[in-house]
Amino acid sequence: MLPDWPTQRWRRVHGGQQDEALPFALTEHAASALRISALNPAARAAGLRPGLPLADARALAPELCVAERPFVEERADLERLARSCVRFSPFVAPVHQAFGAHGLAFDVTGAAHLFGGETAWLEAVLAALNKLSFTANAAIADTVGLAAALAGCDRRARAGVAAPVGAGLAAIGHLPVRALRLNDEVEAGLRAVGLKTVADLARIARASLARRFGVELITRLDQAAGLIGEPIDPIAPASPIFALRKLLEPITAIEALNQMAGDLAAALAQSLDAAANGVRQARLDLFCVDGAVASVAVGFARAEADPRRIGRILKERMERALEGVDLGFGVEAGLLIACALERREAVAVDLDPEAARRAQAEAAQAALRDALCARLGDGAVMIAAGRDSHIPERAQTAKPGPPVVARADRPLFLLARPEPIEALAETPDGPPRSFRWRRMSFRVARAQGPERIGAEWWRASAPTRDYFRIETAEGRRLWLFREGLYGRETDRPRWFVHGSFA
Amino acid sequence: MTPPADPSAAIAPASAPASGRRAALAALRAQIASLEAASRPVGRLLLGDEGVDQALPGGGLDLGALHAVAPAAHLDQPAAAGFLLGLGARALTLRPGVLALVSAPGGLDFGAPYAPGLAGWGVAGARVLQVRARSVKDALWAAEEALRSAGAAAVALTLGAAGAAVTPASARRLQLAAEAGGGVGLVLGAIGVARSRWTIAAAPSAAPAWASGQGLPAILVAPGAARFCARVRASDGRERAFSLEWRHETGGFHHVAGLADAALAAGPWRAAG
Repeated sequence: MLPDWPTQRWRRVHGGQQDEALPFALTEHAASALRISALNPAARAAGLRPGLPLADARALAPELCVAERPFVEERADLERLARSCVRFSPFVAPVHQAFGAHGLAFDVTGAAHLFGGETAWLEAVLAALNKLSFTANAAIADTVGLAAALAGCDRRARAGVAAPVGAGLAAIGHLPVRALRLNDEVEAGLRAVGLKTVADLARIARASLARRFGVELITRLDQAAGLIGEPIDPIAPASPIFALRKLLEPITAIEALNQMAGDLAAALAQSLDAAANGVRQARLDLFCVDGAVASVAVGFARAEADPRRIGRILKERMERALEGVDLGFGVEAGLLIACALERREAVAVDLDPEAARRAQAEAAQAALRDALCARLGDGAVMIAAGRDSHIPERAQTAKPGPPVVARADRPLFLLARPEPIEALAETPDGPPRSFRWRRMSFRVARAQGPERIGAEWWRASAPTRDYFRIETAEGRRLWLFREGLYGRETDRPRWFVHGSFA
Repeated sequence: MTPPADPSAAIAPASAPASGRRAALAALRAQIASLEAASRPVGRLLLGDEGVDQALPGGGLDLGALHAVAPAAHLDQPAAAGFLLGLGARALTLRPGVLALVSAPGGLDFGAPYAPGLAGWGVAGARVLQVRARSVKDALWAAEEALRSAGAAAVALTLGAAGAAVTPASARRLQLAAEAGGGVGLVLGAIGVARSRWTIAAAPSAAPAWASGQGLPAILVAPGAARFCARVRASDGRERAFSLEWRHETGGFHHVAGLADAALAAGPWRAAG
């Protein structure tokens, strides 16, 4: 737990101009007033509390220094701190402002012994955080709830406290009820009826607690006791493969950015090559002078390690992504991270020339697809796959899937939506004799059908379609359908053109 | 003054320089051909019918070149596009890789390519890379990119009416890309640099042999295999006309003599009767 994280982070970021002995507070707009949101120990000693309006606080402590609380930066910095603590355990997650407390949650299973036991681990973590001038309390316990309670409220936690294994709620029996991470309302309610410590709560029947104070209290108790799981959501470990370029002068020109993208791709490819990996997904972060970050994501059809190809795709994507984006005073650094790596298949020289040609064509095809996707967008490029549906427009999909089923009775070209026509048929259920479409009249010479296609019953009901392949007197072949079964579904079936054959 | 009525006097003096000029032209043509041959990939795209292929200069369509296919009338666009896809299907048999189907906005007025139908036509879905460009510029870029790539066996660019807006420079770029890649570039619409220019009209399909003479109303007879009236102006400048039928079973074009009725007349059923 980091009890003074907001103020200490502020000191660290904005330099040590204010004295630790002077009261200092961060404010936020809440309940139509500027109120105290976080404060340092000196301010707390002066009698200030979070939630106090700033005007009242100034009356209490005239020498109070204040600043507006930067929530977004705090969050990002806590994540950075968590990232820097990956060395203590790979399973680390930042805990943001959970009931007034900030902290880092670790899963130390299998990690503590590397430091010489749990006590030594606690000492190492506390030493690292104190070195960064953060006040920290640390505890190790069986559950996240127990550890949070100990670290938050136990006095011994300043030097690190490890609860005995299997102690359960008994380990925190002596702590006040707020150690359970309750909201203010529940905590005040418990105090009002004289339930001050966790041990007091443990003596009351669960049912009456739940009835009186809500399910949340029971949930927190169970989490602490380990009856309900409380997972840690670890930050994704940063990819070990990246390339960073810091520039002497900020740049805005696209040519300069392209140059940087090429350099980054070359550097990335070098580290990829050493690891015999290929990159499937990468992200380029452009850090602007004004603190903004522009991100460009690129994907590759196969594991790629060729600097020229990576650079080319990167440039295309970047040019597209930066269209209409204001880079302010320019970009001062670029970071290219390989997000998804894949082992490159070993390139064996095939002795069979036909197989070698095929492999070469496949590689070229993947590169072509990447290049097209990079400039035209992923949605513009597709290899169609089949889908198990009788409805013609649903029988193909752009997503990967089973191969398309070949049908000689399907048109080569399908209209995006069927176009209504005025048709004249000899019989209500027969093919049309003639029709008008797009202000042109067509005379049907030959016809085949109907092919009856009903709506899929699990979707919204639509009329049955009777499809006809027709050929006009001039030899033009079209795919028509009549919507609605005559006499059963409708008395006035409508006709549509849905596609055309060669 | 030679009287104009005397033909020998008019032709004889002119014939000597004409033969000299013809020889010079032939020499120049041979020189150009030898220059072009150096950059031209070997191999031909065959339509599948021996008679038609032999009638074309060089015995087929050149690889590493552009070929333009235009509809005879607006309503013939699906037929022209189908003919184009037939050529694409033939090209897929020549080398590994995909058929890149690049469509410019408004390039196809009669619907978007439909994978089950394409597969039925002989172009398997997994070997068609569909690219939908948002502008003619993007479409030309994508086609050039695909033509240069060894991953595309053929590139079909459907320009439609937008073909008129293609500058000679970008057409030339496409041509160079096709030469570099060695694939076949097929353009639906007019384009300046095509090695052969096809004009396609849909033609009525043949009626099956059993249907004639039965007194069946024609409307109850199913349409047969797609037929085209194809006119081609090949690289030698001469125009030829064929009546072609696409047979998806063999994946090739077949020359059909004359009209459907004539084909029927030669059929075995009529011969036996």
